[in-house]
Amino acid sequence: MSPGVGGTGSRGLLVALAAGLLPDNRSGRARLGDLIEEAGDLRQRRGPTVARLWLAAQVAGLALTALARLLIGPEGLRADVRESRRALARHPWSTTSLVLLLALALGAGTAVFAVVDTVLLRDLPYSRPESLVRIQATRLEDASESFDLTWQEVDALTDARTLEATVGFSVVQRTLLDDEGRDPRSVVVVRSRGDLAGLLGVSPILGRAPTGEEIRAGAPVAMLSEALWASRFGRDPNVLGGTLNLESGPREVLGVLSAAHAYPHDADLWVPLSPGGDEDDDREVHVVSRVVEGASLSAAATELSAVAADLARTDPEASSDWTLRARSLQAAMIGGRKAAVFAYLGAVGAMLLVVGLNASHLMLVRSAAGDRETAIRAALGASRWRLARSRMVESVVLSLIAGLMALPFGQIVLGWLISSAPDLPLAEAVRIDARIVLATLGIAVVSGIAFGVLPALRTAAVDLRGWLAGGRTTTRRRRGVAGPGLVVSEVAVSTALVAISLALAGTLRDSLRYDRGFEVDGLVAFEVEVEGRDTGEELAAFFGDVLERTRRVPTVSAAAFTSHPLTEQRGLAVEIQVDGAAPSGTEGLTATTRIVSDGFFRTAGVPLRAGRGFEPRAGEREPELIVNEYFVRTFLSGRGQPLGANVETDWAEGTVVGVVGDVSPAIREPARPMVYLPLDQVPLGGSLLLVRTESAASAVGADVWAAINAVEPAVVPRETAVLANTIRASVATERFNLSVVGAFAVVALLLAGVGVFGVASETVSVRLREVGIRRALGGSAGRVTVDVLGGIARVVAAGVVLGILMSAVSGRALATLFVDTTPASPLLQVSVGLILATVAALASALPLLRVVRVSAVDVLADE
Amino acid sequence: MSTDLLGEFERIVLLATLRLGDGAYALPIRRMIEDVTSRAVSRGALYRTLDRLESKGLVRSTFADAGPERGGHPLKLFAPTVSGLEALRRSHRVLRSMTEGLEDVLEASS
Repeated sequence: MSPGVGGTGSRGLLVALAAGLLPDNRSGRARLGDLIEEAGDLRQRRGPTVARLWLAAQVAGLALTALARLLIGPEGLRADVRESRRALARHPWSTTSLVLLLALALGAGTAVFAVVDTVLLRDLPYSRPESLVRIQATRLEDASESFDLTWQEVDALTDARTLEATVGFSVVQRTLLDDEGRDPRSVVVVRSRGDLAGLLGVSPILGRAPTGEEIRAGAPVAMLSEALWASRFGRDPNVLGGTLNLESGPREVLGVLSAAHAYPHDADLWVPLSPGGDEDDDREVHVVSRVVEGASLSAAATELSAVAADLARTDPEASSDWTLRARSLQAAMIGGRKAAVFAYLGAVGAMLLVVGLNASHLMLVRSAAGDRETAIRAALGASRWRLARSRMVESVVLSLIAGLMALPFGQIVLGWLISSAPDLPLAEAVRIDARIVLATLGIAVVSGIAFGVLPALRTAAVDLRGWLAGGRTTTRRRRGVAGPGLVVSEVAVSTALVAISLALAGTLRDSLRYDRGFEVDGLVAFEVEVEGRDTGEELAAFFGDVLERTRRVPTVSAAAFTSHPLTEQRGLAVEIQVDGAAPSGTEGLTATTRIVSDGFFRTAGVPLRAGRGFEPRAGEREPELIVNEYFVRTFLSGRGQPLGANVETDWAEGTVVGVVGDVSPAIREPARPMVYLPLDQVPLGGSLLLVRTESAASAVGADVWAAINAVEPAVVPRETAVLANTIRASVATERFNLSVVGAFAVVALLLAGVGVFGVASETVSVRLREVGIRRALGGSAGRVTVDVLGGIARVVAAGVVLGILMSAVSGRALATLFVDTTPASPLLQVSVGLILATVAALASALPLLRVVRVSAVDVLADE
Repeated sequence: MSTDLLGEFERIVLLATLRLGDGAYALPIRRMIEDVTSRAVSRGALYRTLDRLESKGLVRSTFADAGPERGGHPLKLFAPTVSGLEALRRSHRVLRSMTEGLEDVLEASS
């Protein structure tokens, strides 16, 4: 093969395989050329991974066709299928358990394939999806983190020649009320400037999208998500033309957008942004564009950098640190979940492997039971190949039945995956469609062939003369039909899966127990948006009154306001000057600012290390601020005493009156230097009221809202956040990964148990005669018990060692997939070993009971 | 020459080869059909149909050299034969006479 043909690595191998499978003539080579061309095309549009996966699927399809041709010999497949039906009916129990086992594994596989297909392989459900891009901003000096754009940047994009259309939108939480102004519900509202539905090329499933005129004018109209339409309006088509009572103002319902086409997928409402409605410089504009036909993504990227450079020239203050970049919308949507999706694929693969090994083992036992029939057929003239083939067909028929049964089961698993996976992109679009059905059946056939190989080989190699001469036990049977290899592999794979799930469980536990620097339990946050009070005095009076009333609520032990939630690290980043100059060595470093009221540190449980917290103040006083320990280490290390230092930020200045402990909301978000400013110095229009309570969060909610409304009836009660719940939700991904891998581990463990049970009962039945004779001669069953247990212990120990090696290797791969997986500790490995040993002991209990109960009479009567 | 009517997929494949002219090989044929019908076309089905059309004498194939994007493997180009064109015309006539007078129903936008 010429160098240009195959390329390198796995792609070259796949092309070589395809070449081997296609006919060796010009037509076959033309077909190979088609494959290579299409893979190259896919590689350009979707990246090398997708192209390789696609090529692998094509090669698998070719292999199946070739195999089918090989199997259907001159004698025809029909006779084989008829025979296998008879054979399956002869062993109803083992057939049923095999089919169920395979159906469960294939069903789980089906669900995961459906996710992989939608998330990784299929185009987005929008028109010309390859030309859709998401535009994000990155800092010039550190491109690792992406940010949304400012409206100024979005406006600068309108003239871009490589972009056909650009739509910017911001996502906000709003409160939806019923017609009587009750039953508040928080909804995610997409406020867009431009025709988002038109850009994506989606039309509503009901009604219409807003017209260009309505969008430009910022008309009070809205499109509903299918989910909101179902939950709030019971899918009533008369919702069109009706009014949505949003707390920010009424809106007319124009249409309903299907769940599969919703972008972003968790939005509830799409509304036009009123002109001038959002003109501040916040980086909060999510931007989607369509690249003009014929222009490449790299051309668009070049133009974006030029646009950013232009902006930096005209407005160096706001834009000089930033550049813009475009990613294909598909890549941007999949982003971080790609790793997890691959991990599910790995877990399913491991489970299928264990199931396959088990099935292979059970089929071997069955084929041993059919030795007599095989010998008779051979004596009647059937060729060895023919005999082996009918075994093979038997296992393929079996796994095809399982494949069909797997489909409804896969639907159930898929439902669970979608409902419990946090942030699964395109979740609504995941379906088990014809492709997935074909893939499942294809995999069923392949696994049927795979686990049919050993029984088929065994059938071909059966000792015919021995059988016909009336012999009963072949040497093979004394060693056990399967040999220990299969069970060792089963134990190894399940050990690895158990070890990985234990490591994931450890990660989850670490996240939950992580010391965040504040006391999580008992904290409840209320989002308070003040309206109608504009001056600093009015706001300060409002906050003071609310705090006073809230603190009088009997179930409240402390209360304070904060500008930012404790569960997030964000806040305004500012540059710092101490005593009039930037401390040396801190160039380029920033601190985060938070605005908090008096009593904040006590309420949040953030420890005070030096000085004092903010106190309620009357009249004019010196401006003051409080910093955290990280800030002291970063900016005040050159100064002996942090207290009394004059700290100047970009927009506020004051004397340090206190030092508090560091707060870091999650393991992945380490603490930052932090400056706390007092609320009465910098009054805000909207804030979070943080309340510490000893009683249930639900009990305190109504009382606190009543206290707020007593001060200002216009404040609309919104959802209250129990911080412990927020933190639990923030580890939802870890929890989900654990539940997926954990579920597969439990199944694998059960299967390994079945395997050990098989080995134990086989060993026992082979030795039963010996036991009976020993018992008849007055001996004990002890020796045999020790033998059986010893054999199983060897198998299990070998499997555990192999499995721990496997988990050490896969653990390293996992560490790159899930950021914080800690490598398996020795303690963990010992506990895995213990779990497997317990399973093995339980699995061998029943067969050993037979040894104890066997009577000499039974054995001799059997002779 | 076969007097059978063309199957639906056969007719679409033949029309695609006719439309594509000199550049009609499996890949663009499949893409054109997928674009027009908005449905996925299985590779196997297309190759089988092309083989069948060729064995019925409705298309003929020629091989052409290709560049590195195909790993140096040849293109198999298809073109309708005289019988293929005749079969298309016959099929078209049948369709036209069967649809005559039904334009109101068939061309109404649903």
